Amino acid sequence: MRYENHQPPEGINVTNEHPLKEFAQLAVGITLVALIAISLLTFFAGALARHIPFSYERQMVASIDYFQTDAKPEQANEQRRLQTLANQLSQHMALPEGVAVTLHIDESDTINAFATLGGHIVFFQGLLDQIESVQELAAVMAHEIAHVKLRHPIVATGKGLTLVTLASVVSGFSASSAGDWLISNSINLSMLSYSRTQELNADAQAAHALQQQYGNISGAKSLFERFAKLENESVTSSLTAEAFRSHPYSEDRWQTLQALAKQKGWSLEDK
Amino acid sequence: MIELAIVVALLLLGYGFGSYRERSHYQSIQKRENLLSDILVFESKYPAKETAGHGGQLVQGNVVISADYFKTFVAGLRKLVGGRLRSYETLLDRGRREAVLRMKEDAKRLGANHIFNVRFETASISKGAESRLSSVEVLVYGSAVSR
Repeated sequence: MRYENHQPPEGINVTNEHPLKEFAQLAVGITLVALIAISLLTFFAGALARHIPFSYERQMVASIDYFQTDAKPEQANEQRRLQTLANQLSQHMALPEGVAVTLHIDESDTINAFATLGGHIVFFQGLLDQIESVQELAAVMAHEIAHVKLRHPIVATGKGLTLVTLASVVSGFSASSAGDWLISNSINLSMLSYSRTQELNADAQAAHALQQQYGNISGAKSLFERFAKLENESVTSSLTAEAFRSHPYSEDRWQTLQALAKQKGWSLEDK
Repeated sequence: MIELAIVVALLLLGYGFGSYRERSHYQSIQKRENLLSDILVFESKYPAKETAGHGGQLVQGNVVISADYFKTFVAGLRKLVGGRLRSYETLLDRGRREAVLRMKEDAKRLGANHIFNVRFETASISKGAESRLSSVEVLVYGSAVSR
């Protein structure tokens, strides 16, 4: 019996395939599948969320202190004024049965306003300081009421919760950081694309209400022009307004709105 | 955006250093396998009759080797869809061959030229999801005799 060793040839236990090839195939394939899954899931989640009764939505946020505390005495008048304006505008917006808005003022100097679950609309003092006329105030207000009317807060919540669930299911299965990372980034991408459409829809609804209330949409015009200017300046200066991050593309949105106004015969100027 | 940049930078670093290390390691392995080819290794429990003296000495080789960020990332993607974990195959191949070489060097030091009853043990150093960069330990041992 002869005892000998020989070296096995290379390439039996490992392949000679370039590692970047496998990387590219996997990254592209998984991203595509993730994007398709995410768009299908968010589409259905959004479609279903619209059917959640508004009264449930109100209950969801009923325990949040932020919406319960009564306005401070020095803000009470201002808040009442905002609520009255909101009620006037609501009459032109054909809110569905049972849907109503509640106004709040947040005293921080953030330049923004937002509508959230349960018809709660929050104006930041920073934005109120920037606004120069009732018509501008009405333009912002109508935009936020339109979000409530179109059920955007509950749709966004439904989509967001679906994606969080998807992310935790996938990361639970795969125990893979790479998978998590890809999926969480695809989620961010899809969030951006749907909020833009919602903004444009809210703009159109708001302009309709302004036209009904004042016979023109000059409030939207002066607001958009000022914000487009501020937005351009914010690129070069240190001024950053919260509104630009949640409501980007003032210029683009104003173009869209102008086209709509022309088509509907709405006036841009206050006569 | 900054998060994306960090991941891309880590991937590039991992791929650059990882593939450089892998190439030079394979070159070194092949060179030393030729140098140590006079020391023979066998899985058989029983040494050949003609060896001088039975019940040889225990020799062992041990190596711990780590994946790089790129390999771990690709393996993480691979785990979602299944299939050959090619990026880890080279890691284990290098680990086993390096461990055998270290065992052979041990045997050479003892003046032996045959190793019988060779056994491999492989263990993952970083089990579980806590530390996500995988590293692997390969231990190989056997009985060294000379003839």
